[in-house]
Amino acid sequence: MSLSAWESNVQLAIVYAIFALSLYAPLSAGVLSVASVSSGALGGFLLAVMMPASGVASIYTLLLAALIGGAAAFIMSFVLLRLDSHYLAFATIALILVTYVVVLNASSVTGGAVGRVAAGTLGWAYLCVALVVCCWTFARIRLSRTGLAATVVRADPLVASGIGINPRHIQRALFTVGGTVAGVAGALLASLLEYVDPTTFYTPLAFTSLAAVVLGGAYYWQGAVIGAFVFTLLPYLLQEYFSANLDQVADGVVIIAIVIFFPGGLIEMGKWIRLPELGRLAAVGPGRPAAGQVLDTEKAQPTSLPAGTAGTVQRGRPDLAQYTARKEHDGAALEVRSLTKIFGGLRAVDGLSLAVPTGSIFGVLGPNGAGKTTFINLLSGVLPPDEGATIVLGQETTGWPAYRVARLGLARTYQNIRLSQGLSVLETIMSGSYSRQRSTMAAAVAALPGERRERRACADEARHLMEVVGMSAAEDRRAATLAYGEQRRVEIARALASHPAILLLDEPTAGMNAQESAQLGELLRSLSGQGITIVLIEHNIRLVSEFCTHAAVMHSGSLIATGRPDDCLAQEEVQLAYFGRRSDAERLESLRILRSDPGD
Amino acid sequence: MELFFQQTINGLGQGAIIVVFAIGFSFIFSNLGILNVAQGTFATWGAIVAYYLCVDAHLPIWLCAVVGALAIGALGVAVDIICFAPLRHRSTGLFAPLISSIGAWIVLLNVAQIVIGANTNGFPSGAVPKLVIHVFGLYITSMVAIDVAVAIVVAVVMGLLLNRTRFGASVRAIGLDERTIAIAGINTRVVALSTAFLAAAMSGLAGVLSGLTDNVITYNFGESLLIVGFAAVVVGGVGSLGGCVLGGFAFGLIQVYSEQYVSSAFSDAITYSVLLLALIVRPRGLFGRTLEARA
Repeated sequence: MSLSAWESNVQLAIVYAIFALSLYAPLSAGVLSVASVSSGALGGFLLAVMMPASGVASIYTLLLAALIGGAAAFIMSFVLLRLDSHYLAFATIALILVTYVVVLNASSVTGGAVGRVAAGTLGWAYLCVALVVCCWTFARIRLSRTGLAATVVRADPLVASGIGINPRHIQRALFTVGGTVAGVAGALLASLLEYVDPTTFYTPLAFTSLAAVVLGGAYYWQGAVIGAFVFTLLPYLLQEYFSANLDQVADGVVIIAIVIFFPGGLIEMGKWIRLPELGRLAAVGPGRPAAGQVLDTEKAQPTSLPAGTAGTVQRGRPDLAQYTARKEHDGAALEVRSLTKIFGGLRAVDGLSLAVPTGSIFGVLGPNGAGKTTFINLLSGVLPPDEGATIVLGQETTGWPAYRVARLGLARTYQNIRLSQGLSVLETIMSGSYSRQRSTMAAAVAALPGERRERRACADEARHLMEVVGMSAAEDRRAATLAYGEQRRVEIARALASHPAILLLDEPTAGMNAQESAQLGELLRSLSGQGITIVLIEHNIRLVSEFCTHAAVMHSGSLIATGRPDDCLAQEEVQLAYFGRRSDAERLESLRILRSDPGD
Repeated sequence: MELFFQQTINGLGQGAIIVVFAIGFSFIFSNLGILNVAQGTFATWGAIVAYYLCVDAHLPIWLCAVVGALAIGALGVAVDIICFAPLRHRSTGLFAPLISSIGAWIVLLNVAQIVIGANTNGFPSGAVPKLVIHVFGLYITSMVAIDVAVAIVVAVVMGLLLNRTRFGASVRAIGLDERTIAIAGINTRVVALSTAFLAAAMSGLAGVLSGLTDNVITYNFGESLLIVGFAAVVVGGVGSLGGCVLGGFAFGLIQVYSEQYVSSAFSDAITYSVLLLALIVRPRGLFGRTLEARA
């Protein structure tokens, strides 16, 4: 390959890298979309229309392309993000086809099938600056709370919603970023080819960019860049050895091989040869020595929470708690009125009415299938009730989405542990404080000191919370690879990171041994001492009777007992629900076994 | 008015081909979770195989069609073994199989170009049945009649297969939860490969029908079938046989009508606009299913 061929191919690779980044942006929030090709078409034809005639400086054209691309993506997002993932991917492909036909037929502007000459004035300098700016933007977003939230949304929108993240909002933000970047890429591509026609921005561009993202590693922005370079330059290298078409066949084979043998992409292959860790932790840093000191000072009260984060203030860091404006209210922390949820023919929760007093540790008991988890899902907004009302902290929340309920001050854990794949322990806990942070994505991109401070404070607090819940694992371990009991602790720490007024725990001691359960009980008691209301679904009757101040027993979706835990357990109806009809002697025996008072 | 009815007949003929293609496309997507963009080239390859069988081996045309469809079924199995089966045990969702199928698509498309070049081929004039039936002053060509008949047969057979047989139950179950049905003693590998075979064979059949009806075979003519077939599936509702039939015929008619009454340039635009509009109004298609998430 001659030098000039190399030059133009590297330039093309830069443009494809930027296109690939525009696809990576929504993908980082779990949106598989190729709509950037349409935004790119806007940018490309804008350049073709403006540059030759108007004499507008190139930089303004480029900025305008970014603006138009982003605006188009923003508007499209209101329609597209309503769709489920598969259909959204479908719809964006359809969008490219519509764009193609529109370009083909709006010949007065676009030149129709013949296309239009574009001024090739955006040379190396523009390409390099654009690529650097884009890389910088994605690196900063990745570090920011928005990036962390996006990772959570991508892994599990339900969890994101549960910690106060509006998944739609995050996806819209990144979708718009993608459109903005695509607008620039489109203009650059037009300038590079010095020509645009309907096929310039068509499905091959979409699939090439998508393949580049996957080839490089779909979980890292660096992957998009690496993938685009390899994908663009490889065919030119192969051209020397293969005849026409066969080089493309080789391309296809490479794509399949990467997907099957290196699902993490080239960037994960790089890890084999011990490239530096690509995670975000480095930028959360320095933390470690400082955190060590903090822990020393707080050893005296190991289970105290940073409630009001007095500790962080002492250390000269901003007080995160100041942002958590909790509405003062009288009466119960939680209340439900004739709450009903029906799945098909099953009344999972059936006319349930109860109130959870502020500051209590409220145990919800009941045999399997009693509707306990559904009850928590209704309270936290994961499911909308069919009838009845939910009232959280004096505010009626019936039918609210989970993220709004979470922002009121309700945090929860999950019966089947839900930790986001790929996040470290520290990041997982930090994600919990999303709704208490105020830094914008723009602040992160601009690297404002306030954003950095806030992020550090969150990291420090997350380290403190690890202590609070009794984590012993290293903070940079992948949370999802920990032992079961540790994973439960991470979930609790993540919930606490939002400084909740109410904490819903769905079987937190499942997978813990007796000693660990007792430790958890102590933790709950100390949390409760700091004013957090705790609702606890448990099968560990001993824990409930020892640590809960109140209890309610559910059976077949209805309440069969409320009051002090021991009183509840003593009621005949409760014992019937658990054990069925038996003789008194058998029942006493079962109870004794359950409370595990060994034969005294 | 006569023109309208004539175009309706032509539209139904075109729609029938889309129906056959859409059933295959929807079948692999709804049951194996693979959005297979290579299905369009499967159609192309179906026509190519039938073409060579007809021209070089001088087989009767119906045999060419059957062997072509079966050959593409086998191709589908091969693609599944190479591209999709290794991904099945990682919970990769939609993404990885889609990329893998893009790879398969690039390979098959380029090999097709190597095989038949950039020229347009057609079946020899004697091979295609060219009977024309006159009914009420309208012309029904034998190919249109065959297309519609094949579409109906395919739809009915697939309906019976899915809803009335043990195999159909396994196929539907694999779409819901592969691990569970493996525990229930079903060989998921066989079920998955059979699904891939049927889906690909139907694409191949649609390609043969299209090649016979329009008598135009190029290395990439299946791509247009992919796009309109995909529109039919989405509008009808993924996983719904009735949706595929309705969507397929509807888009056949939409294309023919818009070519006749608007302009052939906008025929595609109208197709895609209907698709986008349908997605916005009914995000899950006309007959799509809704599932409630569990926390």
